[in-house]
Amino acid sequence: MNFTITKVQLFVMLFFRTTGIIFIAYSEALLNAGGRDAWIMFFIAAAFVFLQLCVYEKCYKYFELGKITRWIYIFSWVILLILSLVYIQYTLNIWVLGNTPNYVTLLLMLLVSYYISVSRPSTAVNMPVFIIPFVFVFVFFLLFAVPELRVSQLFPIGKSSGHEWIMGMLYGLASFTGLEGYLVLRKYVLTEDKMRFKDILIYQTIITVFSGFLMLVVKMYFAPASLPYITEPTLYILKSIEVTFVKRLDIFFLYMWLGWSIISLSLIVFNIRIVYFQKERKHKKIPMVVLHLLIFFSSIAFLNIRSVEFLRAHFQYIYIPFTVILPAFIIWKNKRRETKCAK
Amino acid sequence: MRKIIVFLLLSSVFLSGCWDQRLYKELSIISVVGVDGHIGDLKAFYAYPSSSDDPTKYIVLEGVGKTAREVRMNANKKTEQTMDIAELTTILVSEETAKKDLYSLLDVYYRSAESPMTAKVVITDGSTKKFLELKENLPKEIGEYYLDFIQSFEKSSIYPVTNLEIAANKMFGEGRDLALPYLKASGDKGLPEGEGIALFNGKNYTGEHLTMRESTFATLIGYGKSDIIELAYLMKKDGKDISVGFNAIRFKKNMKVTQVGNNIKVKYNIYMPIVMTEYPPDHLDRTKRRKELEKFIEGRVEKDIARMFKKSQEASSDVVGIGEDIRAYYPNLWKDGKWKEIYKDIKIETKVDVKIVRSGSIR
Repeated sequence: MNFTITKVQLFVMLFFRTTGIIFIAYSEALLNAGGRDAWIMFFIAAAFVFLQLCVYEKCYKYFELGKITRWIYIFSWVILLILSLVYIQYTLNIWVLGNTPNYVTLLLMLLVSYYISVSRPSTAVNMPVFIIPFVFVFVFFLLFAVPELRVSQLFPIGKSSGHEWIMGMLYGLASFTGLEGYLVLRKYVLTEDKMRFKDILIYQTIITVFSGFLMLVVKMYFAPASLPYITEPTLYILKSIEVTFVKRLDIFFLYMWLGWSIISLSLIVFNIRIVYFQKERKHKKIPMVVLHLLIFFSSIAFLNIRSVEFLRAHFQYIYIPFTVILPAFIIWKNKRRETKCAK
Repeated sequence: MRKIIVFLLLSSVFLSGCWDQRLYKELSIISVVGVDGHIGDLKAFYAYPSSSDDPTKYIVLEGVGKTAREVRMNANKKTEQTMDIAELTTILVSEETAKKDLYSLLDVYYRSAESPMTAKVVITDGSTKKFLELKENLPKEIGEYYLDFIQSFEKSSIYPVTNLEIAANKMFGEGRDLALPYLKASGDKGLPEGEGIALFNGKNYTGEHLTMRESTFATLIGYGKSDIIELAYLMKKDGKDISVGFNAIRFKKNMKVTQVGNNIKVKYNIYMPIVMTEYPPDHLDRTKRRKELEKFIEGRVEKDIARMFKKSQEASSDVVGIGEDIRAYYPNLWKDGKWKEIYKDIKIETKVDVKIVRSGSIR
């Protein structure tokens, strides 16, 4: 595929790819797994991710996918797409669309995704821009919950067990799932657009502040014992906020989250598209049709509480294999090959 | 042809809501629910407006059943429309019902995404039926009336701000207990009257409630000042009764925790600048008069706070959230799951510093 992006577009895509879908729910999983110190674990994980991005920036040239690694990534992203759609549909069923047949909403979501996937790359690149204003609106309305927040909920610290630290760190890292997108997209950044350490720092600070804010609001709002019962704590908070102009703030933001999630899905599809079409292919649209049909039927097949709970219980394990180990292996292998060739 | 297909596909987007649409004309919009009895033998009353022209007119549906959902289904059989609780403002629960696991009664509201979490939960003296079948015409729609009624107390710092969501949070939290508005029916007309706050221990109502003044101090210490704080006392001086009324401008508390042997000692230092709203003897420009009055108010407030703490400790209800602060800032004194045992024996002292900063528009 032939296209170029600016570094700002890269970071905007990465932001929405990372935060989309999970941002209404990840804090509950993280806080339950990490115990009292979970919020500290999140910020340590954010610092780790920053270092990881710096390493990515140094080594992205060596991130060349081979036949096997390409299909490993495509396979993992397809699984992620299916599970994400299952989660989105399940959440919609619970909150607003209890009677609407699943295939209708899934079809509509995938139709948008398909349209983006067969359009020019610039469509996928620029779609996240539509959501930017909503980020501020979302944060603004969450601030209405401030009178109910209790700083004392953050303390005491140092009470989490070793196991809680391991799980908390895994969930903390999983809040940044999709970071491998940086490696996939980095080589398309305009060469004259120099990437500096400061740019990565600003990006990581913004995403940490946003995700950290959501997590801290949940932590300070809910009693620790009540949190395991709540699946989407951020929506629950919005549901409890009283404003004069709209009866249910949560419904408004649920649709905003839906838009955000569809864009996140289309960015995963975009990653698949880039990786798949790295090799010259005869057909351009048929693979996308097949991909969307596969996602559609698989989502229908797996749409049940077991899949959703499986996803909630295991999504923290995605990060290390696909964002740390596999990229490290690919980079190490290509770097070694280059050194050997140079000799 | 291609354009037609695109148009049809895009148009189908607007159909997605059809399955989930709920039309007002087909619904009985319940605004207040009253719950009596216990799980296994429940009775509930659902009030909804009966006339679109006059919102003050309403019908009360009665349902019986073993579970909260069954009761609603039973009540629904008595109306030609579908009952809808999306605009529920108040859930009244009789005190006997609240004594036995309030959460299990409210689960039906927490589980349904349609229920508004902003609805108030209120404990009533006796059956909730009399709070819905009022003999007097209300000036507004019954749900709106109860909501405004509770909110006016919240704004006066008499009740802490609560709703369904906050109630669940407190029922599960260990360091702070739930406190819900407690209402009684007053006079011949049986109109609702604020009586204080109902004290909870975990998910159960303790059977004890604070008086209005005690509630004010529990709210101020536990949750802080809302819009206004109005207080009034009767001062006896030289055999005369003197009215003393004032508004607190601020309510600043400082909590100190110390360990004395095996017990915990909590000391509150409270600073309360006030503006006088009633004091017939006048002459508040004189320092001596002000000092005398400040001392009187300090004594009375300290007594009220001490009474509030005594009642709360006897009821094992940590209404102001002492446990929350101890768990957070004195973790060596906190024991998971044993807070209530410790709480009962805590020594609580209060030192109030009142300052008259304004005398009103006369001296």
